[in-house]
Amino acid sequence: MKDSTRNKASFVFDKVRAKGATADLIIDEGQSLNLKVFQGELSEHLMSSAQVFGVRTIKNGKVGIAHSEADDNDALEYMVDEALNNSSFSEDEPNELILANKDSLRTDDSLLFPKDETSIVEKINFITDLETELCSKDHIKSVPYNSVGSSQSQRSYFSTAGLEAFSRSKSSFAYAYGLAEKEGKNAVAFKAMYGRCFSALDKNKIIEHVSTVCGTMLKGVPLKSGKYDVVFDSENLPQVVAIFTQIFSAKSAKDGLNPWRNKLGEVVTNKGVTVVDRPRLKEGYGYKLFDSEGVATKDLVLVDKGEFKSFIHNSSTAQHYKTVTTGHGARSARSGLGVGLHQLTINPGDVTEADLTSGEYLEVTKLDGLHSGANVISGDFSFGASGYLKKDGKLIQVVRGITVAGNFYDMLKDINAIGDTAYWNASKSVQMPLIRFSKLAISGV
Amino acid sequence: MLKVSVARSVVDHGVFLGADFVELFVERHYTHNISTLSDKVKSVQSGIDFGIGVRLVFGTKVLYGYTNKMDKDELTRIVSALATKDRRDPKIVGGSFNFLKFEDQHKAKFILSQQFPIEDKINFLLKASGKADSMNDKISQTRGSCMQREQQVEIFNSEGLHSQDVRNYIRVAMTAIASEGSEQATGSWNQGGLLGWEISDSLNPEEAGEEAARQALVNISAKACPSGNMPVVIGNGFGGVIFHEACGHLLETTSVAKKSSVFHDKMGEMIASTVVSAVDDGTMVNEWGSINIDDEGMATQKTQLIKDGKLTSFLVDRIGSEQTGFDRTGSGRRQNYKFAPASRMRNTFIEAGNDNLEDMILSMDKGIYASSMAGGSVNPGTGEFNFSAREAYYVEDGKTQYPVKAATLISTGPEVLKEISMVGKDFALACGMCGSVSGAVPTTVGQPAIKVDNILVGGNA
Repeated sequence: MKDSTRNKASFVFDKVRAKGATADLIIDEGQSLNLKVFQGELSEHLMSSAQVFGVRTIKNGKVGIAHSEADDNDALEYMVDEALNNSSFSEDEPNELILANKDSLRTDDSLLFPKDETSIVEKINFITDLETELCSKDHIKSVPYNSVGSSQSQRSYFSTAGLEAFSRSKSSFAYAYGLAEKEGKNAVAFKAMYGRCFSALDKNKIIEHVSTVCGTMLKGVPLKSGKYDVVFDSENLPQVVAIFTQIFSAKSAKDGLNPWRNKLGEVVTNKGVTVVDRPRLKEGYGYKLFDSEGVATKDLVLVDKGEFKSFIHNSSTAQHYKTVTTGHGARSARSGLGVGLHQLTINPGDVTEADLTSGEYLEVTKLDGLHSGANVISGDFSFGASGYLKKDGKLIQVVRGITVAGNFYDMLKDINAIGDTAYWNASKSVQMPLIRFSKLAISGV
Repeated sequence: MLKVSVARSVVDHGVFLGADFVELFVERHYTHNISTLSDKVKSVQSGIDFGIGVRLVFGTKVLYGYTNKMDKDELTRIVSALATKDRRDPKIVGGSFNFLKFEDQHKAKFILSQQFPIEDKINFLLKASGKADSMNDKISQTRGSCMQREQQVEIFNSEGLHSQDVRNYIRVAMTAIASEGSEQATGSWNQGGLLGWEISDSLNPEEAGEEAARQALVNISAKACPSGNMPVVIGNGFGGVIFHEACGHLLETTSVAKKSSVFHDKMGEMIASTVVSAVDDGTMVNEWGSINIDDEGMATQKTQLIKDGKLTSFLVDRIGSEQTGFDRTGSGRRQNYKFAPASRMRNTFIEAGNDNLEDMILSMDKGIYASSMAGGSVNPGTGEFNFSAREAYYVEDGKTQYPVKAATLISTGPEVLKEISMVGKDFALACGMCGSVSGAVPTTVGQPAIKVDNILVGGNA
């Protein structure tokens, strides 16, 4: 951590203390590079360098939040004044305190901030070759959206209690979105890859996936409407679950907005389901050693064999529920203290994938309208979808132009089988086995 | 915000390095958000975002960088770094900026950088919440929010342009949650515009709370939606999201130039039923999606996209114009300085027709009346879109029978535009946020009620 960063924090806290308040401060800094190509030429080259300061003040039991992207003393003083002014309008939050935490914490650079000397030229060549080679595949008309990029970010946390925590990380990504055309029919496919180092990206895997799916989807037609067993693939199941993760939030429960707020100790899913948040799985990109309050993270069982065991807590919600924080405090420079999952996992079951895919089922490989087609409160959802109708694992029909609908909370109870292998999603934030859900409503022809 | 001498120096540096076009986008952005939970103020947050975006164009290649610093050395460093690989022989630099002053068409009174009444906003939200709560014992919770922003922008470019604009945004929303046994459902209300808190002069908090509660109570009694292909009447206002998704995105040169839009080669052709005429208008006074100038410094305009079913214009930004040959339409927009501009929608709507909503419903044997829509998305390459109903009813024998839940409509743009058979008189607008390549920008959608003869409804019945 740079001395100049510490000095900025000291300046902010001097102003906070002078007003009789306590506070914590997040300083986020980041640099990024992003490249896009079109028809063999670099079409966009984005480079950025940005920072943001975010303060949370607490005075007389009231919490105030403010942020600033400018870091001159006037701007930082204005930010503190704004936070304190904002807090004067807020309701008392007697449970929200700046934790008495004086730790000095730092994440592991050898894991999260690896040496990566890939040049810009190599990255340009990567994405140019990716586009050119993908365009040479059968039926691929263009690759209208593609990108490769790298970023590094660092976060410094400070509190008036003496906490000083520092984390930094690197990441790289590449994606391509191919457009195929044949006999007047169009199809698209998308694939993204992520890594802590650029070398983890494999353009051939992206090309293979996009060209294969595009070619297959050209044959897609709607499925006959009815009830089908559904298996969401390893990319789409995490996306569906992500919409509803508010069920684990103690903050939402406290606010009366969590449908599972009164269900601790109850059976909420099929008894084969065990859900664990595992922040210290090193291969995951959501790996965390400490949360936004500087509390050490650890595994937390959320659902054990169908029984709802725990919410995720920060220090404030823990105080409210008379328990201890689970190390899930989450705060950005622009927001107040909330809770957030680190690396959600579902334990594998005991059904082989051969058994899981026996009989007829719909494998869903793409969902549309995830941001608008679900009601988190009621659990009802209806999404546009495409995928494959299969029998005993073998393709019967390529499917597109359908919707899949159901109720998420009912769906969790009506599980047919849980696979015996867990898969990371592409961004390695979630790890889940394949799950076969019974009889979801499919609308097609 | 940025010294003209610094801007001149940085722009000249880019031209000196051989760039065909250099642009600086300077932004200072104040934000203020209030949220309530039932009868309590949940949070009050504010902030200042500040940064400068630097765009260099070499041929059709766009180089973009941004920083929070406004000193000359940092900006010059970014220009040099961006141009490293594309540097060409120096061009003649010099000249001065021509400051273009645009008349502010969207006057605002109670704005963030001046006095603004936090207490009034809180009182509005708490009154709306109180009304919703009083509507029925089933109303178990409310959530309110008031978002206000003041975006100050200043644009310089190598063609001598120097312009400024201030956009004042306000949006007020109320959500009610109805509970019955283990069932829960939501209803919502929101209004917004390109103005300050004086928007409250035209709003009634009790009507806001009543509407949110009414919709939540309708939805708590809703049955599973039937599925399959059937006629659908889509209500006015936010129902216009169907045109936004099914057609609007496909007319942006962002996808047209890459031929990744199904409409890229259809200019002058019939792409919709003859009852459909559609407009994207950035000039509507104080509307949520309006602007004085776009984010490339061009005065915005009203653009007729479709006239009587025929495609008459795309939405064209600077790069899109160079790539397609169509004239710019003042549609270059971006979320903030972190994004290069792209062609984007503003206030986009289907114009009023001659039909009555009642006649549309009467004309259906079996179908759906989606009186209120939620959001959706589109795949420009195939035109496939989806969007969800927030409030919908099953219709049989020309009469609404019962409310239905979790209804999603899917189709493709080219298909659905030709399936519109009736266009109503009850034109209305509604505000929303639209996400795309240049970030999330405020956009208005709108339409009168329309009837789509055949569309796939995805339900859970």
